[in-house]
Amino acid sequence: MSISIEHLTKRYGRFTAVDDVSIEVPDGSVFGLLGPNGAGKTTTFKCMLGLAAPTSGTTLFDGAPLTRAAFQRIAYVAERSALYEWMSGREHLEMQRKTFARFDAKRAAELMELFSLDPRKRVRRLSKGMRTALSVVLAFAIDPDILILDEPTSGLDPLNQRAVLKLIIDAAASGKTVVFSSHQIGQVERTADHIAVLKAGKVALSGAVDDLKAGAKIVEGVFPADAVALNGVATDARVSRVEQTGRIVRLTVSGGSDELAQKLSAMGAQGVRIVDLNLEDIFLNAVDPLHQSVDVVERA
Amino acid sequence: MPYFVEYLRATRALRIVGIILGVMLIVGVCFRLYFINGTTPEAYVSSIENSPTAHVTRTQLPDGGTQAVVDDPKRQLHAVIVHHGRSFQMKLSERGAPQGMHNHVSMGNTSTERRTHDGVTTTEMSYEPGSQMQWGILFLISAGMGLLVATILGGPLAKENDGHLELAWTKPISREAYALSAVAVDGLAIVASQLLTIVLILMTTAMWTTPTLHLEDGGGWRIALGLLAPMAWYAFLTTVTASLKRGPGTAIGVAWVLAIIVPALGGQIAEHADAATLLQALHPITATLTYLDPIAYIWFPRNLDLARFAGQGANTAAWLVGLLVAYVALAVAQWHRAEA
Repeated sequence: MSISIEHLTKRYGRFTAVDDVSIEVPDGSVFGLLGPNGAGKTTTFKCMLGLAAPTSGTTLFDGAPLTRAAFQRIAYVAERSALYEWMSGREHLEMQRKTFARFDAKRAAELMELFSLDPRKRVRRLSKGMRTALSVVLAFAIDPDILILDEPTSGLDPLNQRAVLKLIIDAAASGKTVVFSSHQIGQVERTADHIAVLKAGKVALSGAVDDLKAGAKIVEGVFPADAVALNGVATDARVSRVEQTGRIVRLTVSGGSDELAQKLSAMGAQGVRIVDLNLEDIFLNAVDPLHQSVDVVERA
Repeated sequence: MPYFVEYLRATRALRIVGIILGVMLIVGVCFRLYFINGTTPEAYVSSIENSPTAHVTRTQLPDGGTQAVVDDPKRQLHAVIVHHGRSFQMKLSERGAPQGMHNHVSMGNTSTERRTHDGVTTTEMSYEPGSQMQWGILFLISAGMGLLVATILGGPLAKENDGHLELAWTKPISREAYALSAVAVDGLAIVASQLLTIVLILMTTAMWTTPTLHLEDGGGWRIALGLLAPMAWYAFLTTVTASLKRGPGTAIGVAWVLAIIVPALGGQIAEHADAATLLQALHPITATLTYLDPIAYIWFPRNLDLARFAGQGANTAAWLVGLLVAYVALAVAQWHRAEA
């Protein structure tokens, strides 16, 4: 099931939370939605699912607007636990069983065991991580075609985080479409094949991870002294980001990486190397291309 | 079954009802056991008629009953007892009898009225074997429990709004159907609580006598009122809290206070409206608010001028049905517009 978000805008009074967002989520992909706090990720999810009414724009699932019946095939894990404090895990599972035609009791039991969840415990007695885990169980137990997961590893210990990521990868492998957000870029890098980066409600970057990585390189060199005059390279149009941490200089470049590596060497840099971009670089380039910290030299 | 959460809430509320009724039943059983050897009204009358010092004159009455006139000089007692089968009416005068604790006591199938004048105590007692119970009155009594359960379950949409919309609204059912199914489940729970209360009343009565039920004149309207008022109150609480983003507890508490104060105050204002201009100005406001308050139809019916139309029972039921539908519709409309 593919998802098309078309020119989605959501305003709360004079504040624009989501601003003309258009995203294509291919069928069977794992789509990572990244962005700093307040970028509009959760609002985008809410508008996609009709939990909040968009000011304008639409979301199409397999080319059609969302219908109530479609929720038989869509699972959502909210950023903040939406579980009922007074209900037990078993009662939550029972709620899903009675509501969703494709609820798989065996799968639910396996997932409860995977996360070491006691079905008799009431939610009010569960830790934040256990609540997240129970929400994940409820989502995966209904055998959905689309999973929309807002911070699905929030509060989980590293072991359970890994388990959730494996569930996501397995779901995609079985043809399901997964859209998820996370602050942990490493997790997105391990699972997502497509990403979009939101910044202040707008799409700063979107596309297949491989394509985004292929389009740019990092040129890195170590200078003998801290203070380096980088004007020679910082003004180059192919350099989108210059980051200087102590004696280390990292240039994010789109094309001409060999030439720029030679320039750095000529300026006295040692051990100059060209490396592939990782998702963190892509994310930082998207949300803060020019000025990330005091160590970063602004491009002229 | 998208109303499963509300179903769980309703069963929890009914569990509370079960506990309350269970405690009342235990108290009733203890009370009955305490009086297991107590004198029954029939035994008491028999002791008066069969006292060795009593002079008794018996007369056959034209209607088939018998009248016994008892004079007991030793006990300074004079009694006239009219028997019709096992039932009787007695008028008893005693000199120097202890002062009664109650002027009028009506308990189960026995009614007693006692007056003391110039040292002579006159007791009028009537007794009907078996207990005549009226359906309409039973349902009006059970409305108290209905209101309690309506209060516990009131504001179901606000409870969902309090951080659960991401679960409630990602189900394959429309918001309207979700809200209406929750209201329906709660409505059934309210009715169930009332029926359980009636069963308890009958059980408690049966510990003392044989209850017989009959539908009295106007009983049908009383049943309707007893069922509709708690439902309308529930609907009222649901609509006033439907847009809240947090638990409805405080709003429900305030609603209770206002629902009692407004009609009570309205009654006083209506009585004294001619006395002051301010009261004249307030009268239409309190009168209108009283019509919108479902509790007023049970506890302050005199403040509602319903009898001026076709009939009080029919009008009360019609008003309550109107309020019920309007409040539910308003609640669903708010729910439809809400956002997570």
